[in-house]
Amino acid sequence: MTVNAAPLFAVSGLNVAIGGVTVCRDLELVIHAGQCWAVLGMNGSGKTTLLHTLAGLRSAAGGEILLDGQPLTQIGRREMARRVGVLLQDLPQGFPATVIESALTGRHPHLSPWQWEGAADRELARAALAAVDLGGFERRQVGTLSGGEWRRLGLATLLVQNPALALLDEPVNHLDLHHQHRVLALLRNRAASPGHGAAMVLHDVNLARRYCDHALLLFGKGETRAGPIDEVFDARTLTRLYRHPVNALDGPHGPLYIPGDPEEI
Amino acid sequence: MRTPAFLALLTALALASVLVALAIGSASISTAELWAALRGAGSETTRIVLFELRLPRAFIAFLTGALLALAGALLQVLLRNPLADPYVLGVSGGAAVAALVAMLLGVAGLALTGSAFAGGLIATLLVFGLARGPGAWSGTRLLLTGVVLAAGWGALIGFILSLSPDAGLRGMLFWLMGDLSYASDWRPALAVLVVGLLATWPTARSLNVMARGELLAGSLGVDVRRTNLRLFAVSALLTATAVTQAGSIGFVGLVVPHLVRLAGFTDHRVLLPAAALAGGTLVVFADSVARTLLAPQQLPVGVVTALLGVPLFLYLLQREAGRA
Repeated sequence: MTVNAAPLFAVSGLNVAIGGVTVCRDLELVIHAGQCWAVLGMNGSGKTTLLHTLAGLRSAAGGEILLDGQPLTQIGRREMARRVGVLLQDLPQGFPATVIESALTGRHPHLSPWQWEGAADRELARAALAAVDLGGFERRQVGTLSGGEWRRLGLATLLVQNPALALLDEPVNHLDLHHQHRVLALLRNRAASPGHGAAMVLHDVNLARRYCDHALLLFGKGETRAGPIDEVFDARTLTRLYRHPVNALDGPHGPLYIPGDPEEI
Repeated sequence: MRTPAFLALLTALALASVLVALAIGSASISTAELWAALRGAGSETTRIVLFELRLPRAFIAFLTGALLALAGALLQVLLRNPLADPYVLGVSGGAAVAALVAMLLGVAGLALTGSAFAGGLIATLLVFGLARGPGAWSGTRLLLTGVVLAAGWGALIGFILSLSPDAGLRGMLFWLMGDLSYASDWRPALAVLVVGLLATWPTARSLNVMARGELLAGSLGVDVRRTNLRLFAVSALLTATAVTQAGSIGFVGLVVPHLVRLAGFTDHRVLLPAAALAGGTLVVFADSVARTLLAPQQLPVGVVTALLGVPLFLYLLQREAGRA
């Protein structure tokens, strides 16, 4: 893996808090192009809040976030949307729309305010839909989609937006086994392509271990740990992270983490 | 249906509605007389009836409907709730209270119009001010605040009606149910409609994104705060102007944007002009019916818009449910 001199994304001394809960204190995080990060922690540890802060959707209590060496606060909204994209945890369906209309909203930051989507934009949307296995769904109403299909439409919209850094909040939520792996392989390959990177909130430690190369752990009360996944992942750390016993077994793709019964703690 | 064909159809319907409004009324004018007058010939009386009575009234009806439908479409995006409508939010209630007080005091003409306009604006500011709270506007909170305030305005309206002398009651009731016979000058409404369209249509693509949620819109580079403020200001102006023109005509702002969406046009770059055209057409047809159904007795136009629109909307909704 090549590591660029100027990191894709650099966070220093970041403080994030929400509702009196400290999410992270003096967080240092550097995402280089080509890296795929997993963000893990218990419910309420602030994974979503942190992701929104990294995406510039809410302001931090302190610290600095640099995108290609440029402070986030100095980047315009549209420019920001072309470089950093977010897959939100919950996407309201809102008003009626077709699947392709919904996917085309990803082109919004790329088009000038007066411009209409053209054939090239539609082609991008169709390709993105095919990539998440929604080929042939273009004319369907979004209200008729299943939970998993709606999730994949959200991913397709993010692919249409095509940001350098993709921040994903539980991208495999609602997805079946096949689509979990298909989507994560797609996101990993995308992150590995030149100039790109990804950070995703996941709850399945085995999926994180298999598809991500780095991990950021949120232990609660502001304590965090970040680094290559081989270094930060072990049974003891995961046991502490989830306050639940976790054992490691040897698996075909590296260690497999098996949770124990709750009362063992 | 393709977008240009749809807009052409709506324009044709709009023109047809105005022709119908010109052709029918208490003074009977034959098609031949109408055609002659349109070419500049025909009798003086016919021309006066057509161009000084019926045409301005048709314009006012059209503009009122267009203003209400456009305001409804914008409020629905602002609240991200399909139930949003100038009347559900109590804007017309505020305007009605101000207008009825003016009527009770024996005020008429420009003072009455000004009073209704001020009442509508105050009611809008009140809804959004009270719903704002500590955080950002939430669609549900706004809608609930609007519904509660609307109930409050309703109580005040009842109070004023019960205090009013019998002689004034009929005029007040008509105003409450939408009355196009007050307005005389359609040019201010046209100016407001043009301003409203110019302020929202060029950037209507961002409304498509806004309709899917503020957070998502923010992540796609939309300036959510500015867009919200603009939607609020424009819809308040449109509604207050419409109420001033014609009293309370319910239902148009709620249903017309839905009819356009149900016809398959959800892109706001099409939806906004289409809603304006369809809303105008609906009110012109409704007014023609109101003037002639029980002629010489006139009905309040709001009664007719509801009687026409409710079954139409229910039918389209059923058809949509059957298709899904």
